[in-house]
Amino acid sequence: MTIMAPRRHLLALFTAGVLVLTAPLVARADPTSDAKAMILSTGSALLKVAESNGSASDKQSQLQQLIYTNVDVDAVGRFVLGRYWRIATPKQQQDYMNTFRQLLVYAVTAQASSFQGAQFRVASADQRDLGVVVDTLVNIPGKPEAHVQWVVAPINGRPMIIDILAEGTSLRLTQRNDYAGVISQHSGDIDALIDAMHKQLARFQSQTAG
Amino acid sequence: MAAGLALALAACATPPPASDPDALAAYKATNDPLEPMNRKLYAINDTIDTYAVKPVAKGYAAVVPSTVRTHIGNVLSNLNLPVVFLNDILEAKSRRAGDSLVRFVLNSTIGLGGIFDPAGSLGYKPHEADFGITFAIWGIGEGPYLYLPVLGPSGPRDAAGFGVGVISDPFFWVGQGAIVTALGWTRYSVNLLNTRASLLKPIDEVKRMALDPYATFRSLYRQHRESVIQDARDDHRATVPDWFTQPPDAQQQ
Repeated sequence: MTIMAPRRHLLALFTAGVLVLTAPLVARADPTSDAKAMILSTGSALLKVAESNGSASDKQSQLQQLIYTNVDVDAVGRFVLGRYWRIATPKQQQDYMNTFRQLLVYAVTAQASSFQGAQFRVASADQRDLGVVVDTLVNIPGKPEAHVQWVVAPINGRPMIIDILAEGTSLRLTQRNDYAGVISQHSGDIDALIDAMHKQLARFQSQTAG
Repeated sequence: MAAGLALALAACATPPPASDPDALAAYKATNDPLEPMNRKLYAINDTIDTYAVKPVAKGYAAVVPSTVRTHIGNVLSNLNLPVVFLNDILEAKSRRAGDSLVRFVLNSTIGLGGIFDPAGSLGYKPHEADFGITFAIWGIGEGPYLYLPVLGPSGPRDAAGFGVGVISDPFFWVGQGAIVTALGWTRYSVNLLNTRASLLKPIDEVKRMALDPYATFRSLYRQHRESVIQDARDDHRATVPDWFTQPPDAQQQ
């Protein structure tokens, strides 16, 4: 008993030690593998919607859910407006962001049909300055293999997409330059951009309805 | 001369005042001091494209099946490989030069003049190389944005690179006479048509989504060039065969 007690004690101490040492490893999620898993599940869900036989409005609502859950839309929207975000009035910011959210859903829905029959695989994931960059290779029948990178950053402890790089071109940077082009062509008037966005949204809505 | 200078000056964009540092930084980052003139040239090109090039490319895509268009694209890429090889050498990228050489030899022979791409199946994948990329590797900056008639998005470095690329092409110097000239123009025209046909959907999509297509194409062009230049810079593959002891720096790649 006297011999058993210290042995049990030592075993317990050893187990506790192992647990204490490994606990941070277990508790601390690895951002790279988290990002990889998120892209894998989001990509698969996206392709599933693209392949489904549902109506256009069904697909759109499913994609909307997918985007709002996995993309940090507000951060992307602020990035896209760039320096003009700081000088926009709260009303302009709200109007812009509301329209931006809707336009993003239409943009992805319009692209969904081109993903039919597509296959994708995650090649690698690296931590870089702007976030975790998840490298994927997308194969669409009849087209050369495309290199698509997803930039993922932790938002409130959850990995979310903040940018997509298609063959080296950043979607959010391209859109920032597009929007800045409109504002600079109208002598720095942010309302001109918001007006153009409203018109584009109305056009998309009428096309979907028609 | 004086009239030309006056026109160029009139075509210059007015930089924002120094009192607005954010706007000035954005102006410098855009690096498009000739924007008013560039936008006019873009509008002209866009009109020509909409009413002439695009309808012809659509007709071509409707008549020529996509598989045949891919093979035509392969042949044209193969014809360009001597210039790609030359640039690989000038960029001191020996593995890339090896890829280009193997691609040219295999695809010109077994690949029946480049119709098929057996080299690609064997792992000798294509890559982009031209004098614009080479000049960038040599440290020459892209310079201000230029929108050129017919050629489209460019800059002084890439435009000079395009010119050097044309005269460095062996096919530019081979033979003479009406037939050779006609073949040269046919190659150029088919290349334009085949490329435009392959871009029908992407270009339509950019125009549908962009609120300012000019600024969007400028951004896409610049990012694409930067990306292919970076790819060339990052290609550190060793030239030592796998079975030979690898140098330490190559093992780290």
